[in-house]
Amino acid sequence: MPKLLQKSILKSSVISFLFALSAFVYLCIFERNTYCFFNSAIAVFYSPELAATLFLFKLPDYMYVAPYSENQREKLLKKGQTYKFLSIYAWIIVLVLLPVTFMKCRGGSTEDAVLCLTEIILSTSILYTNAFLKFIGQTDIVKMVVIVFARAIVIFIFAGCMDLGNVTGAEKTIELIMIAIIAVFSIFLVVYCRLKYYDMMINCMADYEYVHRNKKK
Amino acid sequence: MLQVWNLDKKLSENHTFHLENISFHIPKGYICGLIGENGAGKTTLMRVLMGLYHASGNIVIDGHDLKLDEAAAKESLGLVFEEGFFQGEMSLEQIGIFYGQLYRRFEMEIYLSYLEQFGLDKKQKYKKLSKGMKTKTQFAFALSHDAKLFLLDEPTAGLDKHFREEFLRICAKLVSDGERSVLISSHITEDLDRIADYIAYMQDGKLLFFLPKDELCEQFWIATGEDYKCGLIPEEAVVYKEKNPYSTSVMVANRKRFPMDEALEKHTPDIREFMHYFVKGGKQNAETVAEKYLKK
Repeated sequence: MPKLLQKSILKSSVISFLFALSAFVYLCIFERNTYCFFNSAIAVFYSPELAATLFLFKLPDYMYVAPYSENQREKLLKKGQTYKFLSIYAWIIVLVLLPVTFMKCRGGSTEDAVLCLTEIILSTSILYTNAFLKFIGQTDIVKMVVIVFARAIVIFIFAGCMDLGNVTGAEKTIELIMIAIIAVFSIFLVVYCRLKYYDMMINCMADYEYVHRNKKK
Repeated sequence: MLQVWNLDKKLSENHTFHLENISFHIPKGYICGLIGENGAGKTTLMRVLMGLYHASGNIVIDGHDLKLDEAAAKESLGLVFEEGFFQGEMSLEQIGIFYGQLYRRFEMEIYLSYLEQFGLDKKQKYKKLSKGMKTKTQFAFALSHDAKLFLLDEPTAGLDKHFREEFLRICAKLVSDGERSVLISSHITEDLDRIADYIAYMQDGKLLFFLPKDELCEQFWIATGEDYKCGLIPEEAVVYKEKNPYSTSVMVANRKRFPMDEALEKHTPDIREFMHYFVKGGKQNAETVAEKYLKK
């Protein structure tokens, strides 16, 4: 991989890492799992432009005139995007590995562990799909609005299930079902974006005209 | 070196401007000047040749098709562009290190020697340079990876007179071995007069003509004299008539066919004069003249 690209990936990944790290910081500071991170995510995903800037890797302009074919640019884009995604999810690894945060997450009860795991899955899904929002909006604005709306609903439902440790009986059952649906929906969203849009998006990003037409907008 | 056939490019669905059916061929060892008014499509054409824009038609650079063998075709390109593509926070030396790695035949020593020759400090950051110095940097870089075709978009704008002379000297030297070619887009027609072998004129996305410079200019006269004598020149031969305070000047096409009064002062126009009269005559007139006298 050329040094120019390594430099770009590093710079781009650091920005994403710092943003994603804010979730880890919030989780460390507050007693319970908090939605400050989700509030940040909500702010981001209501602005597809900002989301694309934070979560999407872009080639340096010179790569479009340098002696690389479109296929080669696509491969480089995929590599860059992989590193960027890794930097976005680095906080999850930290969260799991650091005893303090893990214990906070576990809280000693099964309900807390379930909530923690679901929050991780939901956060991962939001972060991952943020990278696609702008592109989805350009190809099909209705789909983008549906995804954004669905995510917002899911987050609010999850917020409503935060008292899982304090409820019993039917209410607890309902909340557990809701949490399961949230987890499944989050995973579905990731798989859907990956299978349907990833290659298409990378193909467009390898085209200078597409990138700069959208920059001008 | 550069062969273009039936190049067609619409910028976007909403755009009315488009490059229309452009075909030309620059042989090895020659310099072509690309001229035209603002908005004629020169930069768009350059971007298509650089591979930034997709277009229908065929482009072959140094024997490599730009669509089928993009990497090899771009390996042969040396570029000087207004905006450039270098990251501003890098020093000139770092530009050589990072961007030079993208080319198989890049030589860092040659690049540094050109930087020195052009009076540039290799430690300075690119974003802190003036426009002219950025052009010099791009030119130094383009000269350092054994490019075969140089695409230079307004390279001399912003350059001091001394460096312009050096720039033109380097361009002329580049093609002297018969292995390289240069395509220069420029409004500074005096430069093209000095070094260009071919002239390509664009208007509203169309290539009105592509001719050897001498052949182009020798098709025309600039005749100067009394107004009534200029008025005797057949209308069909007049590209544009310009009334001055004490005399009238006319650019006459197809001069071999239309003899003129001996009292009129005649001379072969240079590119600057040619452009002046050609453009002043209006777009419709320019198309007619090009169609009648300049298409091969």
